Amino acid sequence: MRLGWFGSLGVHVLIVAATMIAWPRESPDLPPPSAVVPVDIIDTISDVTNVSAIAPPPETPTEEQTTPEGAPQTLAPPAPEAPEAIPDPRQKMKQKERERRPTSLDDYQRLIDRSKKKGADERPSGPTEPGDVTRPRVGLGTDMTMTETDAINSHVQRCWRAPADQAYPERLIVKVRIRLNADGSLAAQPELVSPRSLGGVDPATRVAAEAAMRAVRVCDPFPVAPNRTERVNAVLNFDPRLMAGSN
Amino acid sequence: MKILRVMKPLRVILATLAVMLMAPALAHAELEIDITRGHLNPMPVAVPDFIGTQAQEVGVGKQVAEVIRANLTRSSLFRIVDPAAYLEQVPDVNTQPRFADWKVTQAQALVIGQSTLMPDGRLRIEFRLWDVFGESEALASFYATTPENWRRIAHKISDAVYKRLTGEDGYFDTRVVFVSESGPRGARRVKQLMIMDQDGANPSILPTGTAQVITPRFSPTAQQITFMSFETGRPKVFLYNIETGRREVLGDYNGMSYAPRFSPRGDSVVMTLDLSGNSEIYRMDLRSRATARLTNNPSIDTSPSFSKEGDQIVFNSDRGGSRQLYTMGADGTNVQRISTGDGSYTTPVWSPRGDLIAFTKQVGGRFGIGVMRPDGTGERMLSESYLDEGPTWSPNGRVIMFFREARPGAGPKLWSVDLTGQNLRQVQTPADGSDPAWSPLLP
Repeated sequence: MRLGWFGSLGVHVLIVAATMIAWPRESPDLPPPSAVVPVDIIDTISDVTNVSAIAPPPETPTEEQTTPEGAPQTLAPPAPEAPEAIPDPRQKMKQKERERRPTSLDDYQRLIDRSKKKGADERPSGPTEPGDVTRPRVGLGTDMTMTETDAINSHVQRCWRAPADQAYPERLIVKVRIRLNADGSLAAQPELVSPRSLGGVDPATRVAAEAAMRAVRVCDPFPVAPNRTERVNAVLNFDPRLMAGSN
Repeated sequence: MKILRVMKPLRVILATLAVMLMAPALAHAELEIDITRGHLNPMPVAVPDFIGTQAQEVGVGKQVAEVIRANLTRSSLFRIVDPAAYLEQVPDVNTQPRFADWKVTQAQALVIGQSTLMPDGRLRIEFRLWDVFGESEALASFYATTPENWRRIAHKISDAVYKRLTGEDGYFDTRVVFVSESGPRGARRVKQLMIMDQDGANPSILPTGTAQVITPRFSPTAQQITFMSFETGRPKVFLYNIETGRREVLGDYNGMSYAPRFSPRGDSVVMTLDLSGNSEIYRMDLRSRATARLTNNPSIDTSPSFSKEGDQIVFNSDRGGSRQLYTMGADGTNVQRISTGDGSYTTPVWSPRGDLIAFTKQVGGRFGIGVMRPDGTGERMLSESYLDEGPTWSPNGRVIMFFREARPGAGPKLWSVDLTGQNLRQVQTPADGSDPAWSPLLP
C-alpha cells in the first residue's frame, strides 16, 4: 500500500520534472548563453557605488589609414589618471542624480504620461497607493510592477539614440541585461546578451550595441518604486524596426 | 521502519532533482522589456582644442579642433558640447580623462588630441576618442605631415571619429568640383571648373581651358573628372586628370556628346551622343575606347548613371510623352519606367550605397531634389525652390549636394541636404557655383 503511494508520488514528480524540461525548450526566444562578466556584489548601498567600471582593453586600430606623409600609428595606452586632492566629482553627480530621482508614484506617473499620447488611459496616482501593491506582477522572480516596467521603458527611450536611420535596421536589434539595486542604480555594468560580444560583428551592429549600452549607462539611475526592497534583473530589448518603419 | 529509511535519501534525491530541473525554468523567466522607441537627436561630443606646448603647436591644435567640430556639426549626427562647459583640461593626450567631469557636460564621446612639431620640421598630430559613459578608449591614432597639411589631418580625424561612432565611412576628406560662374548672364557668362575641399576651403580654378564648361563628374576611383566643354565649338565630352593635368576629348564624333558619367569601377563612361539629330546613350570603354550604343529610340534619352554594382543604368527619357526616369541593364536591355508621379524627372544619380536614386523634379514651375528606390517606390522630396538641380552624392551616400537659384535672376549657389531632408545648408563658394560633383574619399 505504502509502496504504491510512494510509487505514485515518484511518477508525479517525474511528470512535473519532465514538464519543466520540455516547456522552456518550446519557447522560440531563449536567450543565448551570455559571456561571463565579473560582478561586484554590494551589501550596503552607500553614497558612492563601489562598482568599478569594466573598461575593455584599449583598442588598437588595425585598419590602415593613409596620410599625406606616412601612415598613422597606434598610440601607446594612456597613463592612468593622477590622483588629486579634490572632491570626487562623481559624488556630486550621484547627489544630483539622487535629487532628480523620482520618489513617489506621482513622479513615475509623470514619466509615463510624457511618453503617452493624449487620450491614453489614465492611471491612478497617489503615494503608496494600496492598489499598486496588488497590481499584477511581471515576470517570475523579478517582482516588478507594470508601473515600474512602464517607467523604465519610458526612461530608457529618452536615453537611446536609435539606429533607425541606418540601412536594414532589422539586423540592429540589441539585447542588454541590466541588474539594478533596489534604489534603481546600476548594481553592475550592463551586459551584452545579443550580440554576445562586440568582436567580429560588422561596424553598424557594433555601433548599435554600443548605443544600447550607452543608453543604459546614461539612464542610470532607473526609476523604481520607492518601497522596493529587492534588486531588479531584466533584459532590455532595443528594437529600432518600429521607428525605421515610421520614418 | 525499513521503508522510512529508504524514503529519506529518496526524498533528498527527488528534492535535488526538482530544484535542478526548475533552475533553467526560473532563469528563462527573466523579464524582457521591449524598447521600440528612441530618439534621433545628434550625439553630444566634446572636442577641446588640441594640446600643444609651443605657440605654433597650440595654434595648429586650435585650428584642427575647429575643423573637426565644424565637420561633425555639419553632418547633423553630432552636437558639439560648448567648450565653455568643459570642466577638465586634459594635460596630455596619454592621460586618461576624468570621465565624471565629462559626464556632467552630457558629452557621450570625447576627442582629445595633441600637436607636436618634430625635429625634422614635420607636424605630428595624435588623438584619442573616448567613450565617456563606457569609460573606455574607442580609438587612438596619430598622423605625421608637413605643417601646411594640417587641414587634411583634421578631415582624416573627422572621418575616423565619424566611422567609429556611426559605423559608416565618413566623407570629410573629399573634394568637390563645380562650375564657377561669373560675369554677365547669357553667352558672355564665364563658366570655369573649380575644385575645393568639401567644406569650401582651398578653392582653386582647374586649368581646363577658357571655353564654357558644364556637367563635371568625378571618377569614383581616381582623381579624374569628365565634363562637357564648348572648346571645339560643339559640345564635347572631355577627360581630365587632376593630378597630371592631362586633358583629352572622349571620342571625336561628328556631332554632340554630353551628360557623361563614370562607371563604378572608373573604367568606362556612359554619355549621350547626338550624331544625327537623335540623342542616344552610349558606353565607352576607357582602355580600348570601344563604344557601344545602349538605347535606340526616336525620343531623347540622356543623363545615364550606373548602379553601385555597375549592372544597371538609370536615365531619363521623354519616350512616354514627358521626361521620366527609366532603368535598363548595362547592355541596354530590359528598359523599365520607374517614375510615376506628376511633373518631369531629370538628372538621376544612383547612390554609392545602391539603395536610392536622387533626381531633379519639376512640378508647377518649381524644382526640387528628391530620392526614390531603384524600383521607383518610396519617392520623397528633400528640397524645393525656384530652381534646385544637379544632385551629387557624398561617397558614403548620406548627403546630397546640388545647386539652387532661390529666385529669378539670383545666381546659382551650392547647397547640401542629408537623406532626412532636415539638414539643408549652403556651401560657401568664392563666386556663383553650379553642377557640383563630389569626389571619393582621398587616398
